[in-house]
Amino acid sequence: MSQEKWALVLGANSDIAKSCAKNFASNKFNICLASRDIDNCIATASDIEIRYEVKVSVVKFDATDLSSHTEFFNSLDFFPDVTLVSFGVLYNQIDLEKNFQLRKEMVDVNLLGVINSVESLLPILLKRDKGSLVLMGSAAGDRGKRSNYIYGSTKAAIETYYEGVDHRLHNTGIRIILIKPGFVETKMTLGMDLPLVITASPHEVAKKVYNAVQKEKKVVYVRSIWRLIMLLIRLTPRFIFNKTSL
Amino acid sequence: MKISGWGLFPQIESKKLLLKPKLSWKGNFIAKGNLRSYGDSALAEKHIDMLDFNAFISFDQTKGTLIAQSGVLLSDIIDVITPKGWFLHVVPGTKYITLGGAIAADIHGKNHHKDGCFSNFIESFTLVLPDNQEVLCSTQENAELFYATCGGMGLTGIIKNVTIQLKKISSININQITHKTENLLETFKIFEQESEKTYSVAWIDCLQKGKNIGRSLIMTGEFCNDEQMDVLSRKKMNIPFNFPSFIINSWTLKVFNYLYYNKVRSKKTSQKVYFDTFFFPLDSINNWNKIYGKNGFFQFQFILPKSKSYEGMLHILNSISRENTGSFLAVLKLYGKSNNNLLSFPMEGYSLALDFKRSKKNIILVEALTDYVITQGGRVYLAKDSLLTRNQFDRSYSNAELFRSIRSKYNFNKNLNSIQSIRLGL
Repeated sequence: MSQEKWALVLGANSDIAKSCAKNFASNKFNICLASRDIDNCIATASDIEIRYEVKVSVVKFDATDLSSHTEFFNSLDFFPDVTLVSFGVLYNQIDLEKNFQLRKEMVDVNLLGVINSVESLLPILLKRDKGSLVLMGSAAGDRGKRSNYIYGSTKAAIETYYEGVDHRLHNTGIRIILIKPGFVETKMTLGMDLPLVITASPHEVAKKVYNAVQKEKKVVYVRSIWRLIMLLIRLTPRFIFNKTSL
Repeated sequence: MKISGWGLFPQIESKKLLLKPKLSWKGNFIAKGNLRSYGDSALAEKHIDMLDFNAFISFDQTKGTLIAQSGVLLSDIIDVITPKGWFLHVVPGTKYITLGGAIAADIHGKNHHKDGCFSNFIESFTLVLPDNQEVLCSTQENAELFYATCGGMGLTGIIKNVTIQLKKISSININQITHKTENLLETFKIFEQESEKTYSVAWIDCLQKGKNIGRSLIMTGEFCNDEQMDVLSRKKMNIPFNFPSFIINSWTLKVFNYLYYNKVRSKKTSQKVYFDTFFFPLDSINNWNKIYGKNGFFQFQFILPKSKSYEGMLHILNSISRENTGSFLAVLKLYGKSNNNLLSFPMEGYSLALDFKRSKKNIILVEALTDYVITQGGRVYLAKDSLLTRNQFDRSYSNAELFRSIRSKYNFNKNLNSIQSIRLGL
């Protein structure tokens, strides 16, 4: 008898998270959807159950309630073979410049929330010396620019954090992957005028995530052209860069 | 983003609207599905992309009742239900359409003469009205909206959650019988003779002249009882780009039609085929619409009342062959009685569906043929249409005024407008 595999999706209500959950389910993973907004997850759960005939559970998870994280992971009734840390918020830069509350919330979710949930989960994975973790980075973190540097700095911090965890896990059976989606057509980006060739669909992201887990990749840009674009942006000398409107 | 129907014309710029958290009823918009209607039914300045709204809600495997959001594709439904011994009562020629689109066009299949339209098996659906309230519609509740919405081309609210009754099957195979006929008279004779068969459809070689006019292959089918339930996956071909438009000309059409007709050697052959091959032959070629070139094509599907069918089809096939134009696939079908839906296409009689490359000559021909169809008491299928005028529509859809009055009663006509509805003055 083959053993059941579980994928845990933290922040299960985003378009990318839902697509990833479906993709893992189509590869016969049972799915646990974790989110603040359980009602919304229940609809996704029945959809996945009916389509893929796997077990789907829904649990409440609040990324900003840091003290609850350890208890949350300890109370799971399955071992998470794959954990997708997909929650995150993206606020408009101008709003962020004006509003302290938004800045705090974004750092709380994107940075503290991610670091604390990974640190709370790691002991469980280390005990069995297996499991995969997927973090969501962003090309916005590759170089600070005026259009989105507050968001970008949370993602840059995640990348540094990722490097450290990857280093720490080097001699273990646990894998950690950083996905950098680039532009993705989701409700987060609706109304933005995104260039077609460098814009991925949530479905495409989901396929890359699954592949990255199977092939034990490290840092993955969903569309590989982003690696080149961001390299060029990073290499641009400051006296030129600062004159651009990026 | 730029969007167009399956016929690749017209192509328009259309902005995406969100259904959640709240739909904003401003400007002209329409719910868009998988864009498989041929003309401009799903095109407007703004659209709601129902493909984002594609969750299964519940599936009762003992009763065969499915509840799903309207953006689910029939292909996804078939993938889920077929291995469990269920199928859709009515399927069109492609499975790549949404549940909502199937209701909006009140689609029919090869079994219309036995089972009627898709809406026959819809228990209920929820509909979003201009005040963003959701109402449940069925033949019992809000019946006025139910009959307007089935076949209503998305012009009477946004269809959200759909409850549909499924058909029990005990095999994924179809017993198919192919009859080869010499002319139209024989084709009609076989149709009537085989009208007890659940599924029937004919492909006409529409490039024949004189005594051979209307020669056909008629396929009839019934689900097998062989308990074979293993679903196969079919290999798919892909048309990666628009073919140069000269590829489709009277010579290539003749060769294709000749080969297709002569592929079948004997008068009557019988074989067991996989349901997918039987119902959705063209789905095995991705983007087959691109073979007509970048100027696109249009489909002309009309129906004639039974008493006028034979004479009418003969007249129309003659006109087409005289013009030396024609179609890869000319599909003839027998229909049963019409239903109570205000704009539903079927009526008791025969329909013919023809593809034409989009050219001035072909448009003029079809405009004339449309007028002929209407004088004979027939009508044109709105899901395929991009050419009908308001006057032609009013003369052929007898509930046109009633439909308009419902649109204005519920305030749908303020924003819920497609290019087609504007053209038809709906």
